[in-house]
Parts: sequence; structure tokens; C-alpha cells
Amino acid sequence: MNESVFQAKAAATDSGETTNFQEKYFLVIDDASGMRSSMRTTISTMGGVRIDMAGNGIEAINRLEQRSYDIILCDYDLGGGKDGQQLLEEIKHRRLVKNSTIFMMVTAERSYEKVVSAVELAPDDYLIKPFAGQVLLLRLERLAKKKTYFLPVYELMDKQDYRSAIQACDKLLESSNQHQIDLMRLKAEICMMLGDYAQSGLIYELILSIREIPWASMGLAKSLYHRAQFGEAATIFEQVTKANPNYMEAYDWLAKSHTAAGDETTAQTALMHATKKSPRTLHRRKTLGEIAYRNNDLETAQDSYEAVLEFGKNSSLTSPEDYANLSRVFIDMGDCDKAMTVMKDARKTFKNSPESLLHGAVMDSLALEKSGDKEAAKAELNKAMGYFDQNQARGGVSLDLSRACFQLGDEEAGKKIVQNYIKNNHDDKRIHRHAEDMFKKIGMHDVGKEIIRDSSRTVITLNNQAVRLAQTGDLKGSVDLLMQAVAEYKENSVVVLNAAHAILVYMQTQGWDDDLAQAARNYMSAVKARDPDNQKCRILSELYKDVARQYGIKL
Amino acid sequence: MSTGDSRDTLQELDALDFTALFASQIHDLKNLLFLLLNDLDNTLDRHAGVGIDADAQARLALLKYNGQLINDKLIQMLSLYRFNRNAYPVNLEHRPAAELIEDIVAETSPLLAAKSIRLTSQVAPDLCWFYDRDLAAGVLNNAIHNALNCARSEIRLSADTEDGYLIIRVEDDGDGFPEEILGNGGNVRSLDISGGKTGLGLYFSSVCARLHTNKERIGRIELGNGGSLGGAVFALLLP
Repeated sequence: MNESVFQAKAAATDSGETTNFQEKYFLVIDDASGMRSSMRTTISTMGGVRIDMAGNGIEAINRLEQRSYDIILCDYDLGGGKDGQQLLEEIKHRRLVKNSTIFMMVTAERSYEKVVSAVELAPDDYLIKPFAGQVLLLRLERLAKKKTYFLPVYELMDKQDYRSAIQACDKLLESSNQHQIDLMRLKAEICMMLGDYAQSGLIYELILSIREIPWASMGLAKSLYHRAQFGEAATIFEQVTKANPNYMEAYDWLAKSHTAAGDETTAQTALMHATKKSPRTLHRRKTLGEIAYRNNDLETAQDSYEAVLEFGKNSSLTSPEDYANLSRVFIDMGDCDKAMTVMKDARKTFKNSPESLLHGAVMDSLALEKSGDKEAAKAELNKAMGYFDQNQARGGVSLDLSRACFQLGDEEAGKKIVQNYIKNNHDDKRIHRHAEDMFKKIGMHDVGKEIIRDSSRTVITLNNQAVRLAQTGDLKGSVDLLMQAVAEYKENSVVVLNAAHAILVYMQTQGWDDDLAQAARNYMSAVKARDPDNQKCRILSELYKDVARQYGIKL
Repeated sequence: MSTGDSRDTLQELDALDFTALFASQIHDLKNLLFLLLNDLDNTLDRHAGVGIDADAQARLALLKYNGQLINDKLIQMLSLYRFNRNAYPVNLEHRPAAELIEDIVAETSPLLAAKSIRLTSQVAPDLCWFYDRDLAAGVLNNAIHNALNCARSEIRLSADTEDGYLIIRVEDDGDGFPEEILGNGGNVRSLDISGGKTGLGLYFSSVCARLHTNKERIGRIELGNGGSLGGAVFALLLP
């Protein structure tokens, strides 16, 4: 039987030309050196020559910061630290790869299917070990072809020209092809990025009419959520968790929907369920801690915040605020020593960073006040006020600080801090609720509610005034008013973006103005820096491009 | 060491969760097998046609074939364990059936050198379907590896649609399935582990097929004899 070596006839394909792997830059990420060299051999067999190696996530990020790769092969299990999925998420969030880069996860675990079918950011493909080199080659060739097919859309997305990217999707959708479902999904995702939730909802419904797929249900429910249809959204999210108990993101959104609908008890249940299944996810633990604290379930809050600190140890994922959250729970429990120990840890962990000193002084002041040592509490408060004035990022600390002011008799200062905080977040219901809780705790519920309402109303009135000016044709007046408001409420993204919007509308009719355009750009990048996924920001940059085009200004 | 100590050790063993132990060890086995098979692949590639005689090449291919059989078994056991623990979400993706067939052909090719068997395939390039690639591949690999044992000279892999099902057939020109297997049509509903042959592969395939659902319809496998090559016909039907 040895005489006859038999060939396998490949399946019929419309493959066209094959990919030239000699030109491609490969990055192999694997913690086992045996695996790395085995992969290198396999890639060389396919003709690849430009191959870099990384033994862990940090090395991989370093490589990616230095050059761009065409094909990334990443092992899911990277030993300690980040796993392949977390690495992929970091790489995507930091935009270290282009949309056209191929990211392939390699895993010995069949259970990675569990991960890949239930994450928002999936790799382009994954391979389960053991695999034949020939199969890797086939998969990469297919992916290369698919990336080429999607390239017109990807290039526009890389340029953040989302509206044109949607048109490019539509063009590709005109002819039926094997990527139809993927194209529809991509189009829906771009619509969501631009805040067109009506359109994204329609696309997801269309996909669901073809087949019940969890990600399409998630997309539809998210579209509903963003259109404030929280009840309907919650129903679908719940269905997803029932049908796919490992779809962790569905629990988060279920909780979010319940919270938005005002039912924080059910929200907590959903998050506790998810935490049981996947105990190490920090952001979920944080949210659970926050909701439990609001629901006055101090034990769960303590448990959650402690887990955040424990699992987040030695990572950049915790901040002094996380320590303050735990310290606050201990203060409410009356355990002031523990509350202060936590903040001592915070200062130590963050090597006395300004933020840790500020949070530390505030929480120490509250703890000392609670234990009855008013004098020491006042001393800490004075320190805190000093740090507060010097500190740039001070959002979350405001409520604790103002609570200390109120409790130690400096009502004026306390009021001013809250007012300022609310004015900078006049439309953030979550922050309003937290502020209300704080007032309730110090027995000033009614006064507090009034302060919150008035502060938020000040900004709303100002906004409305600007809108009215614009409507009556006084576009310049509207721009001036909003630019003044920005000077006062720098941290208020809504106000800052409204100012940018007013400038763009003004220039649309009154002509280009370099200074105003510069101001608008600054406003947009300020918001983008603290909130990279801000939708209004995306829409405004599209508008900016339109206006620039209108006057033949080069971008 | 005293006897008391050793009894303690044994008691500790009593407390071991062997199911979990086996499941985790199967992982490690799969990793080791990967290294082994990958080395074998690279060796086969490097010596394809040159520097090694046909006999040695066939032996290497046979090694690979047996390694693949071990891998099949490990995957089947692990997967059944996961299905049972409810830890396997079916991942339906809309893909060309040709991709699946291509993958299987690529994976099987290195094994063919050990046998005087030809593998042919037939599928329309534009036929797309919703299926879980890993489940479907697990089923088809198992069917092909069985066919490699029975076929005389040819195995045919084909995909088609019929009545709202994607049908993927593995046919060979051997003697066909024995009557006792055909008796229950292949849809094994339970596993008899008392006898020598467990039928794990068929049972696994049946479960994987049933995990594919579309509204009211459920996937299945069908076994028969005859077909285009006159031997065994294994069919996977996905709604």
C-alpha cells in the first residue's frame, strides 16, 4: 500500500489569487517558548518570513506600539496576567491595530468557544489546538480575502468617517455574497456608533428574522435601551441570559436596563448572578458594589469593593477611588478604624499620589467625624480642601468632600462643591442619585434635593436660552453664551459639545472662522479625551468635516 | 512510613472529584498531543517527497492517524462533559459549507499517505449555512476517521441542501455499516459503556447534531449503506 501516495482533491472554491505571506508582518504571542518556535516553523512553511515573537501581554503591547502587524496569532492562555481575550480588548481599545489587521486566537481549550461566542470584541477567528499547519494556512487565506473584501469599509472606519463607511457597507450589500450577515452586523455597529439606534434596531430585527443569534438579540436590545425603551430591552437581555447563561455582557446590560427603569433591586440580582459565574470581572464588581451600596446592602457592597481591590492588585485597573468606595462602606458600618486602614493602603499603593492624598484626607475626615473626634476630622478636612483645589480630576470625590463639609459645619463650602459637581454633570441621573443618597445620609434629604434640582436647572436654563437665541436667528449670540458657559463648566461634556455644535451651525451659514473652528476642535478633543466613545462627539466630527468641505478647507 | 499514613492518603483519594480531575487532565493531554502532532506535521512537511522513503513516510502518516484518533476521543469526552455541565454555547455562524469541507480535507490529507485511499469532495462554493464550525468539524472528522478504516479506495465528502437542511455526507466504498448499527438509524440516545465498543463517536455525533436547532427543527445524523460509492453513508443534517 506504500507505493501509492494519494492526493486529496481540494474542494471547489472561487479562491482567485493566493495570499503572499512573504510580505506580511506576523506577531506570535505565546507564553510557552516551545509553542512559539513551533508556530514559527509553521508560518515559515507557509512562506512567512517577517515574524516577531512576544512571550506575554506586555511584550506584545510593546511590539504593537512600535510597528503595525498584518497578522497576529495569540494564544488564549498566556500564563499569569492578562489572557488573550483581555489582551485583544486592550489592543482594540487603544487602537493598536487597524481594522484590517487579522487577529487569530489560538487555544488548547475548547472552552474558549464559550468565551468567543459571548464577547463583544471577538477575534477574527480562532483555532483549537491541535491543528494542522495546512488548516492555519487555509484559515489565514480566507481571512485575508475577507479583509480585502471589507477593506473599503475598514479604511473609512480607520479614518473615522463613519457615514461614508455605512455607504460603503450598503454598496457591498447590493450584491449577495457569503459575507452578507457579517456586513449587516458591521453596518448595525457603525449605526450604533453614530447614535442611529432606530436604524441599528431595524438591521438587528432583520437578522433575527433570518436566524435567532445571541449577538443580534443583544444588538436589538441595546438599540432599544438607547431609545429609552428599558422594559423591552430588559426582556430581551433576560431571554439572552436564559438561552446563553455564559453571555456575561447580557447580565450587565440587564442590570443597566433595570437601573435605568428605576428597579435597582432586580439590577442587583442580575449582577450577583453574573458575579457568581464570573467572579473576577472588575468592572462588574464595581457596579455591583455601587448598586448594593445604594440598596443599603452594605455586606454585598463591602464584599464587592474588597474583591475589586483584591483582583485588581498589581494592575492599573484600580484607582484611589476604589479604596474610597470601600472605606465609605466601613464608615457607614461604623467601623472607622477599618475605613482609615483602607485609605492608608491606598496612599501606600499609589505612593502618595495627589489623588490618593485627596481621597485619603476626605475619607479620614469622615471616619474621624463618625468616631466623634471633630477636631482631628476638621484638620483632615482642611488638608482635603487644599488638595481639592490643586487637583484636576476631582469628580467622584466631590460628594464625600461636601459630606464632610456639611457634617463639620461648613455648609457654605459643602453646598458650593455639590453645586459645582451637579452643574458639571447636569444630565447624569446616576450622579444625581448618588448626591441625593449622600444628602439622605446626613439628614438633609429635602434641602439636598433642592440644591440638586436648582444646580441642574441653572445649566438647563442656560442651554435652553442658547437654543432660543439660535432659533430666533441670533446664532452668534448662541455661540457666545455657550462659550461663556464652557469657561464655567469645563467638565460638562454636554455643554462643551453644545458649544461646538453651535459654532458649526454658525459657520454653516455665516462662513468659516479659523478661531471658532479651532475652539470647536478643542472642545471636541477635550470630550474625546475623557470619553472616547462619546456619540455626539462622533456626529459632530462628521458635521465638522461637512462644514470644512463646504468652504473648501483642507482637513 | 506507617500504615496509618498510607490509609490517610487513600482517604484523601476518596475525596477526589475524579470527573473534574479527568476533565482537567484531558486538557493537558490535548496540549501534549498538539505538540506531538505538530512536530509530526512539520516532519512530514519537511520530508515530503525527499530524504525519506515512502515506507517511512507511510509510517509517519499512520502515527499521525492514530494520534488523530486519540484526539477525536479526547475531544468527544471533553465535549460531552461540557454539554452536560451546560458550559457549551452553540456558536452559530453563517459560513460557506465549502469552508468546512476544505478544513476537513486539509486536516485529513496528511493521513492519506498511510492508506491507499482517495478523498474527494463536492460542494457548491456559494452554499452558505448557519452552523457551529467546531461541532460540525468534530462530527465530520470522526466520520472520516472511521471511513479511513473501512474504505477500499475512496471517501467522498459532499454538502447539499434538502428540505431546509444542510446535509453533509461522508461516503465510502467499503462494506458498509453492519446491521446492528443501522438498526437504530444512528441516532444513539444513550451510551452503553459496559461492552467493549462504546459507540462514543456516534453518540457524540448525534448530540452535536441535536445541538443545532432552528425554530422547531432539530439536527440529526443518518446512517445508511449504498450511496454514490456503494459503501457506508454517514449524513449530518443541520436545520
